[in-house]
Amino acid sequence: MTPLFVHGFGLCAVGDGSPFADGLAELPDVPIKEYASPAARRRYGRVAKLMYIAASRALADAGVEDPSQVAVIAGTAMGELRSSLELVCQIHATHGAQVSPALVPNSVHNAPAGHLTIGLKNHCPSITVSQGWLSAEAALAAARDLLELSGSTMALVIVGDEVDLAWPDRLRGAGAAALAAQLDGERFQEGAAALVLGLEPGGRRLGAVAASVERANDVSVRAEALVAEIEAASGPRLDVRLRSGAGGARLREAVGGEVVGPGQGTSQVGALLELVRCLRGEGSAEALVLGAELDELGWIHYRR
Amino acid sequence: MPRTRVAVTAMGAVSAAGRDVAAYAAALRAPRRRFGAPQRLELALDVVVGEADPSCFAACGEAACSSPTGALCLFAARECAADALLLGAPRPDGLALGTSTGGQSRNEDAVFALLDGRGVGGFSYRAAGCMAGPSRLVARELGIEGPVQTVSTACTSSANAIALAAAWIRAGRCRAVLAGGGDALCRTTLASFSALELTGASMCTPFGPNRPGMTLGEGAAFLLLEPLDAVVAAGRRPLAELEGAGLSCDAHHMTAPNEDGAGGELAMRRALADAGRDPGEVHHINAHGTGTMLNDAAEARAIARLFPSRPWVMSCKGLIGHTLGGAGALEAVAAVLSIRGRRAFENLGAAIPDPELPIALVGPGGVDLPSIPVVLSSSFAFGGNNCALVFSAADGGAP
Repeated sequence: MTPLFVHGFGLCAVGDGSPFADGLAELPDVPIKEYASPAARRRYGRVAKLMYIAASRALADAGVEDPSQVAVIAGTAMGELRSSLELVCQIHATHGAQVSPALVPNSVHNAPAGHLTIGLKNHCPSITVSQGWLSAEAALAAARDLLELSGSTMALVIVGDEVDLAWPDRLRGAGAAALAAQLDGERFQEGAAALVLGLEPGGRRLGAVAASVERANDVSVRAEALVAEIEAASGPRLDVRLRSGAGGARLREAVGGEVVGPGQGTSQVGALLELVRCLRGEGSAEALVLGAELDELGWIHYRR
Repeated sequence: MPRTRVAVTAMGAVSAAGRDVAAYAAALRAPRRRFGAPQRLELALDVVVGEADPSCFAACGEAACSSPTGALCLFAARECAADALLLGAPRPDGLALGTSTGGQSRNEDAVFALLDGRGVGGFSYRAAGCMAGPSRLVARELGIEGPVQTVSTACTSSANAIALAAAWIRAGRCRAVLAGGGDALCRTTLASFSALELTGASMCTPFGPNRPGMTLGEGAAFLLLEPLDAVVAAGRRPLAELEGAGLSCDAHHMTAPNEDGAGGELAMRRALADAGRDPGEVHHINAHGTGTMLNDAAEARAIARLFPSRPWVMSCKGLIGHTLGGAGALEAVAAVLSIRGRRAFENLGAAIPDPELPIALVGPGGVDLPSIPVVLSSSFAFGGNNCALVFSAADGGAP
């Protein structure tokens, strides 16, 4: 699997990289004013703001001088959830006859990437992927595919999701206690993280990363085989890390390793944080981060 | 080292034009519009839509419970997989699925139930409501083991999924990828396009004068992509070759294209470059052609600039409506059918173009194409997202 080289990282999340609090959490302040004009940011949904900030920080960290020349790949499980839910509520109230047109552009999953490419004046290829709680892995995989396909040499990968703290109470108020408890149980924390990746190692190289989401009839068997494949290639020094936020704990019996989280932010952000900790020398020099949702295995392999 | 060429070896399609590829091909050759008021969704909107036959949902049985989009995708994917099996193709070991709405219908049901005080029963966002619901359903039901990707870039979703799948084949990551996608009609899309005043109460007339707007439709389609060399070595005949893909962003506006169509043109240029083709080699364009004033004008300008040879242009949306995330895949199937039949199909809804649009529309009855046709299929989306695909006859045009 062709690895990509990490040139920069940016984050906009609860805790901003420090260990997160346990439980649902939303950012008290989203400092979009520092990054976008008033006219532009009025159009952004919350996820677009989070992603725009993380992307700007990653581009600065990577020293990218011309952000219009990087392919843009976004990964999000739920997209602009508040906008979408508000839209559905308006449809319910008016039988679809009176819906705010302002909500519509942000109801598509690629809205954050669209706003970002407009802001960056970027005409490069762009794609948005969504694979539930494995969307970070999916976005990293798509970045590799898009670079191979398009001839671009650098990619900006942004992942993120939002949280609305009002929803559990609204669900309970509507009699959906089980669904509210399910949401609480996710310990979901909003945020976005971004990586600047290249096909070639550059001066800002922080490490190399490969990733994928694979469907398997038996996810544990596939995880075991994957660990064996990587160890066969690089030696038995692989640090296996299991993302509890994305069902990784259920792989422990098959592959061992440390369960990371809860307290890893949104599942997507948590995945990239694990990667960046390693690249910054806070963890092992080589690691495999695993998550499992339903019958899908998400993995990120990185080397410092 | 020469690049791995990508063959299309099997297809599946469902839409308002019919339940399978044969029905779709027949409808393209002898078109009849099947648009009407929405039957499944109760909304106070004066629109016509192109709905799939209800039996397609019923045929998916329990699987249809996941979401209508999932059911349509599964229905088309099963046809493609069965076609592949008959032809002796390998079992798919990858799935790239594009959808704009995913499980949104189920989310709407849950929110409506909550607001009506009815409770949500066993609703599960992960299983039914999420964007990846259809891909998870298709992969599980077909027993696909390997890479899975859900692309959600609004109306370019399935075109982009096909492009990603081509990358997997070229890189040797998979030997047979099921690529495509779909969308079922849902309340969100109907109300949203109505709010933007992009849909009309009458049927769409792509590229025609006084266009009333788009007609929404629903459907799904899949192509099986394989390495061309492997197909030929196995003694099988490909349906077509996917020669190239090009992606771009407008970087202009969230819901409106550049007036000059520059973003779409860039995607088409990139697709041609990826295919190693000059614009003059393209015989036919299966256009995005939504039937809105802005899209059709921008697209026609881009086509006129890039293709001075004036290839034949048609839009499938006059037949099946705008199937959103499924449009790119359904139009890719139509492009392959054009190649197989050496025929460009009629641009239903408008026999002659708006006098302001300098393109050559395919009129009633269609037009013949050369023995080895090259066809470009383009898709554009909200967010300024664009994708173009170039197909040709992989076997010298043998029927």
